Amino acid sequence: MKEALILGIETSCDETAAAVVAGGRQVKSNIIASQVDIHRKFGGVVPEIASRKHLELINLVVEEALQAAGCTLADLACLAVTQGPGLVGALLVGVNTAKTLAYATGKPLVAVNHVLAHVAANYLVHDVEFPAVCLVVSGGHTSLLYLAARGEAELLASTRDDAAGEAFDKIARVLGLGYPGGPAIELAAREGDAHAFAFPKAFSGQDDVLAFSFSGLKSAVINTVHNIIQKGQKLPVADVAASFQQAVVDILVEKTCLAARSKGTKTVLLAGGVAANLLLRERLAAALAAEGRSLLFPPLSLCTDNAAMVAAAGWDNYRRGQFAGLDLNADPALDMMRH
Amino acid sequence: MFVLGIDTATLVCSVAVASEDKTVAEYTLQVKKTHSQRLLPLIAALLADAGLTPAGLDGIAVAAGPGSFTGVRIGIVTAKALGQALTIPLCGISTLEALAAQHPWFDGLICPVLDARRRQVYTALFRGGGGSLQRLAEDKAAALPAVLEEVEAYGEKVLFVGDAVPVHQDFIRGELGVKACFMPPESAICRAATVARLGLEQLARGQAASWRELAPRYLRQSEAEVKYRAAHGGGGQCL
Ligand SMILES: [Zn+2]
Repeated sequence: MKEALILGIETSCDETAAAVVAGGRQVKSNIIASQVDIHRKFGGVVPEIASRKHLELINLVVEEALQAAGCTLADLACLAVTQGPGLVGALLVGVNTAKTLAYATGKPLVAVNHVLAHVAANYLVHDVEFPAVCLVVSGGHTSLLYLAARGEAELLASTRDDAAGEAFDKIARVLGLGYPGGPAIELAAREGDAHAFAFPKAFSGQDDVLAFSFSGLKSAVINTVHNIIQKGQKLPVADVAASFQQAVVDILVEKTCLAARSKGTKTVLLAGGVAANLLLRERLAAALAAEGRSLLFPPLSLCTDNAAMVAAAGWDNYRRGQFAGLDLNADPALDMMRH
Repeated sequence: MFVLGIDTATLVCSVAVASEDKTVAEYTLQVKKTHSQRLLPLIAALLADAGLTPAGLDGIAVAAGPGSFTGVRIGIVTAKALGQALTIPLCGISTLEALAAQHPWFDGLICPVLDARRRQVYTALFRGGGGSLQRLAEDKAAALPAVLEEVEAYGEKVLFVGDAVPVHQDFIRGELGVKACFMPPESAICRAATVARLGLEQLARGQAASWRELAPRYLRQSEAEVKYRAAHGGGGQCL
């Protein structure tokens, strides 16, 4: 079982991905066909176009993942697929491909929660000491999880409105920086003064101090930009980007440290596409180190959506015998705690 | 030779296994539960009842559209994955042709019409009679009044089938009078047994595709592309 080969399939957003992982740990292949160039001209992911593209690519990506891993469908112990959350039409392509391949080959199938797959990306590269706290931050999610052991996750907090990555995309659009917003803001911010604007970051839910909210910050940035434009002044794009990024990072660092402190964990994991943000990595690592905690995160290639992380998360279900039936459906709003 | 037929292009979810001389088994549902949940369990039950395993199939025929974008995709995705796992040929069948092909002895025109939203139908035109079908017009999306005008010009009896019929039956009769013919509901929906038979015919002609080639026939771009091209003056090609 240790070396059991799992084929992971991921189609929740705009990456069509398949990967083979051995023993929930060793990446044998990791193939990603990105559609980001197609969606860029629309300023965001267009669900119907994403679904069509996934359908065109999925079988080729699966074939390539098997070939690169030097195995066939017959060699697999199990198939794992992202069930949700994500875009429903996009998820349907992956879910129906995975369960049909499983049925045709007589292999078991496991359903994976995309957020937990991001967490599991860390298991592909680190020996994680549990318990741990994990911050999952991407275009679709901003969540804090408590991990008692591998595959045992408890949701501590999530965002009440936008995900952090969504806020990056929106502000990048307002600043005319293009899509996707995360890397665009990060690049522009390098030339800017992070203290040029004092954007609001304070948000504490009365009942839930860990909960995130980015809508207040987003509105403040948009208002600032509009005021500058209305006055006929030149928009200091780099300064706005830097100050905005600073505010987002401050919020993420504060809540994550708070979670680690309240749960008393020495280890903190970072996961999701926004984990690629250098300022976030540095600031979070420094803040945690000051408290005697360590930060782990996956390499860039495993932060953004990929199927190796899906296979890794699937391995946890596989060894527990938590298999999915042929009636498995995509669930665009899949709740984390159902796994 | 056993061919699995699949149709999920409309609200109907239909699966069948056919050999050269008979329909071995067929399940057809028209209920409000997603094709994604229904299709594979139906196929598993169908093959089990037919005494077959997936490896016993020689080909897959699937209604490749037009129809609901999502519905068409579920059928194609399933067919492609079966084709890839079993390394067997695939046949993409026009949903409209499959609808018409149930009535090869109808002596007149056969006009399948599927709801295409945006005040349009997906349609094509065939001539029946003599036990075979002759195609007169390609699959397209068009407004129903324009379609009726076109078929009326032939001055023949016209049989209407498809899911747009129940909605527009009175209008069609109003326009075409006694020339308009209709079938009882069970003969006016797409059936996987017909899809499988058309697949067998394609295979016999050596026209099957591999899982690499099989593609859906949406007949339409996504809304976002239509809007984008309206704003930017694009060439109108699908992405
Ligand atoms: Zn993601």
